[in-house]
Amino acid sequence: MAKKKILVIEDDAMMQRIFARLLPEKYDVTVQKEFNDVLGSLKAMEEKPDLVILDLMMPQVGGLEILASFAQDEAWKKVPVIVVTNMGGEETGKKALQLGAKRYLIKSEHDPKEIVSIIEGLLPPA
Amino acid sequence: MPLVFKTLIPIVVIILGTAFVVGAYLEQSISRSLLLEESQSTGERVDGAARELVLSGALASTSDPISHERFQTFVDRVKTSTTARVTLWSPEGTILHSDLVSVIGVSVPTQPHVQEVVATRERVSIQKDKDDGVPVQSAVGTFTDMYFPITNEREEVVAVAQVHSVLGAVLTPLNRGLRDAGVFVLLGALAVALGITVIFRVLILAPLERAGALARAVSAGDFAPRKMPKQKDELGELAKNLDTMRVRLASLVGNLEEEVEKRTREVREEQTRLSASLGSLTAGFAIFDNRRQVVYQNTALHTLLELSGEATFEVLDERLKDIGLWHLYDIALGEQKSADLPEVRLGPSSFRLFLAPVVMESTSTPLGAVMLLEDITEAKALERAKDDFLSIASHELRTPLTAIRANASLVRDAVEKTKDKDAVAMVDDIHNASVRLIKIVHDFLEVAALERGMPVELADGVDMRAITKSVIEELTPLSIEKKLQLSLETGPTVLVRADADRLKQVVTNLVGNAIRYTKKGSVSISLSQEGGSAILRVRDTGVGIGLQQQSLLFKKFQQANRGVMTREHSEGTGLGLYITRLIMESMGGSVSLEQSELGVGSTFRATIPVSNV
Repeated sequence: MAKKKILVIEDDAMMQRIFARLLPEKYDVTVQKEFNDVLGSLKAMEEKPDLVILDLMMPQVGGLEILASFAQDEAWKKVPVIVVTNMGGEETGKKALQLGAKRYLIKSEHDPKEIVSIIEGLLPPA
Repeated sequence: MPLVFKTLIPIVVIILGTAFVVGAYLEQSISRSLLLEESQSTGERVDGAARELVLSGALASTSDPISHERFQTFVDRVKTSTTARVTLWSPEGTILHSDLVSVIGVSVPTQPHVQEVVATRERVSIQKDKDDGVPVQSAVGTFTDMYFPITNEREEVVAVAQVHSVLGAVLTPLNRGLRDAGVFVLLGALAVALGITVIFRVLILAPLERAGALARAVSAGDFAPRKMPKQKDELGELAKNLDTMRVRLASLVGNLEEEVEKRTREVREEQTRLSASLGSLTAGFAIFDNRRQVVYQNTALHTLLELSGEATFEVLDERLKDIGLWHLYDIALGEQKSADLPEVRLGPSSFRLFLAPVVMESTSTPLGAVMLLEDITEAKALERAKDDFLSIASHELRTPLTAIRANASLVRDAVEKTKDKDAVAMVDDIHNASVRLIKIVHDFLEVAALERGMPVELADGVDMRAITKSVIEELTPLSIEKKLQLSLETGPTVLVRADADRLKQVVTNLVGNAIRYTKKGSVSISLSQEGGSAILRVRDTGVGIGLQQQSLLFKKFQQANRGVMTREHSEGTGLGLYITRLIMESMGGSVSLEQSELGVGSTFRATIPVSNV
């Protein structure tokens, strides 16, 4: 059985490392590297991941905009997105959920283990 | 017509009238009595003369005419004036003799008067205006015609003597006398009238005029003293009273004028003060009357709306485009409702607009409206900046904190494997510290959101008991750790109208606080319904809260340290209860300290409206 693919869209290096450590080896974790034209790069992606971990605070294009573009895309629409960010509060959370995110988490408020269990809960069954 | 004539004329008329009537009456009676006298005296003379004539035998035979001398003697005896005419008639109606020579011998058999005298043997006296039949030389004026019977010894009428005299001679002096009297009466009347007029003028008119002049002057506002009549009668009394009135009025008016001046000055000062205050307002201010006229507008309004001068209602409405000033104004005046628009955008600026009706309290009629326009552009920008700042700051703080927390958590597993208890403890400390810091950041953001007054989504049918039970479940491990009793009184649930998540947050805060501040004993929770609200009570046997601390409990940044400084007591941001309070208030409820005693414990109480369904 192929590993489930998780795409982490997060530009902060430290956070990228944390996610890599966080997520157990049973997943195929890819970290988005292209941030100059992230929308284009995402669109061009042939194989869509099984889950997206999306930060909101990013250069040029914010997470919410990416969410919006996912909602427009046939293929991306189907991919569950967890917004894991340190930005904002309830309002931003509501907005993210309205735009199609499956969960909205404040990074700092959860221990890694919690985040992992939430992620696993959202992955489509094998 | 002046009073003078009104009195003068009637007097004169009355006097003259009386004089005339009296004169006429007098003339009548005097002439009658004169006539009578004349008749009598003439009669006596005739009698005497007639006797002589009869004795002389001149009338013995009717055929012999009477001699002229005899006749003349007779006439002389009878006549008293030359204007009288005497004629002797025979009983048959023939003129025996007369002054008028030409009629001697003429026969007028049907002379009525002669016949009458012959028949009655009485004298007849006639007053005539004109002699009928017998031509008389002086046929003017009144005259008398008297017929006297002449009888002989045998009492037979042998002749009739006719004495014809013009009374003018007798009456002329009378008339002249009366005429003279009349003139005197007229003069007298005039004199009397004049006299009365003068007296009237002096005693009555002049004083009245002066009194009148005073009254006129006073009513025209001239209170200067004037010379008044001092006579000791009714007019003098009137004059005195009028003068007293003048003096009183003068002082009254004087006082009144002073009073009015003082009040006017006060009002003007007040106006100036008000105008200055309004003028110095930085907010735009306008006052409207109830006919859409702008009664007052201050300079701030002009600055804010970029008006070049005095603006009319229409101009203001146009400037405030999308607000519909007319509509707001109509509602304000019609329904007496104020309008408060918290944010009105005009180009790059933001304003807060407030429009309230001005109503006359006694009659509830709308007098107009007042409008306040506040420039909140900067304030809004500041708010936005604050929000942005908080957003960014919290993000910036959270990022490293996440790294610390997450890595500490991950490292712990590895360190645990080394069986180094100290190392594990240290890593735990790092982890816990980061968690606390993260909570602080979270609280700050939450307070900001709550203070901004974000709309809350309330739902009916929220199960209070279920929420409380869930919180107890989550906090039971902690209570066990501290060896405290944590319980919920049995009873029915209460369905409330609330935001379930936030409500849970509040309950967690209250129960968590209770556990944290209780060293030993219990934390008991009760749920009840009183009136239209659900009441949650959290009772602990903790340290209690001193009176001074009690007043600071729900305020921002106040440590609910409950008077004792220990490590566990200085946890938290000091925002916990403040946030709890804001949340409860945003849902239409409240939170309070019901009671507390140092060393005994505290009871916190939260109220939330009961569900509508």
